[in-house]
Amino acid sequence: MGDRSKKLLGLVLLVSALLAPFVFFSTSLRAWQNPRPALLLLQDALYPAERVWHGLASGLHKTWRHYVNLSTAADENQMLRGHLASLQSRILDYDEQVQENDRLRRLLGFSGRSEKKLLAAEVIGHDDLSQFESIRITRGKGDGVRVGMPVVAADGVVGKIIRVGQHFADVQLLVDSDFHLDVLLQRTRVRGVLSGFAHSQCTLQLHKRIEMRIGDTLITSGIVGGFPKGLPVGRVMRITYETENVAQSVTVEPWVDHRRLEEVMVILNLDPELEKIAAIAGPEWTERAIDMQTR
Amino acid sequence: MIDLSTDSLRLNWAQVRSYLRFRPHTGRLWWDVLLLLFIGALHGTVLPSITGSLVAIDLMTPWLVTILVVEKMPRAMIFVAISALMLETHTTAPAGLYLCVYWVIACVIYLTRGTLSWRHGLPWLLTYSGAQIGVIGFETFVLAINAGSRPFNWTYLFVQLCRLPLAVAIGMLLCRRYIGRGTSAEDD
Repeated sequence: MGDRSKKLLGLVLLVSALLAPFVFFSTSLRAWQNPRPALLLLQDALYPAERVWHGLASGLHKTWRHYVNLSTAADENQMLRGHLASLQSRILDYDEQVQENDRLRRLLGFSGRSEKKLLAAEVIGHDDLSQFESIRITRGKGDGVRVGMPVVAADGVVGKIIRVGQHFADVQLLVDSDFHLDVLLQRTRVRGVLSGFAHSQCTLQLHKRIEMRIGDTLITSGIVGGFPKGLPVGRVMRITYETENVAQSVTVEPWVDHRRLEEVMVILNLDPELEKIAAIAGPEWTERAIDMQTR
Repeated sequence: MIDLSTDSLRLNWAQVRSYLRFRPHTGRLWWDVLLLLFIGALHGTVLPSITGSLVAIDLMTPWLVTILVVEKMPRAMIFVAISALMLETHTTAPAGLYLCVYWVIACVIYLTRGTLSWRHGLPWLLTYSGAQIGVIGFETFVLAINAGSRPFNWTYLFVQLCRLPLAVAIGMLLCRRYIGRGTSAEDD
């Protein structure tokens, strides 16, 4: 390469390096959601390695837990039997209340609850390196998983599907700093938007006058985002006031500990409102709407 | 007929051994790409499950920086694209974050590498530190734009402070073979 062309290349690189951040910040600053198949090819190529590693690691962990480390198993068993007995009595009570609730809803002419279609998935990876928190699950496009679908666990909300490969999907966690969820305060029925905070916490800004207590439970409002109403989200841990600010800042601890997640459920139902419109406008419209809603 | 003489076996073994060397730059593009994919798999799956959430090990940046110092520019850009896309499509990081930061690092390294002597440890140390500070700084800036000051606390600071020396240490391990000998890029 001649001296002149070298200098020209250097100049081009310098200008492109200076321009690159401007180009990047002019974009929407959102994660890859529906990347082209070529982009997902890398992840699809790495997926078998991920599966093998997860199989090995969880195999070792299970062997240790199930066959070697059994010193506390008897005590735990006894404690769980106690819990089970109390839960069984509560379930009987709960069934009675559900039936009564359904009767009352029918009497009042409220719309019935839609049946949730759930898909179980195993968690095979969790990215801890950066602050952009996600987990990878073993269900993908082939299983009917789509971007924007809610993901839950036994304890409550986990997050939503952000990217789908052929055999895997990435879930944006509730604690991700770019995650926002419409919630209700279970005791007072006040609405607010919960935002991820990173490091296993979320935050909620509410007006100072709204009454709130440490330990209050937050549930999904069911209004936007496709999450059914009433799913447990987290509990209030800390409330901070600033004298010059009209808002109170509420720190929320999610019920689900994402670092210990092994299995999750994907709610295959899309937003019921979207489903109604899709029946008229067609599936292509729905894809576009979900894409816009998740942005 | 298969030649099973000692000399032939020794020659074949030497060839096989050249593939078994686990380093960022072997000179064969396809093998280097495979090794980068392997590093990506380690980085995204094995390491996080071993280290947990308080210690973050960045394997990708030092590996890529070594390639950028040693490799020719057009080839190096292939590695930049692969590693950035591997990171971006595995996390919820904004699309283009790592493409942007790695592109800037690649350009800076290309423009400065001819003026530094890679026979010494100091340029490597400064390059690894600079690249890692660039990645952490850019991530932090993007996070601040997206989420304000909410995510920043002592845990965040601790994680990033651990991440920097660990990445530099990994880098210094990777560049050992060039210290005292230099790189072919110095002749460019």
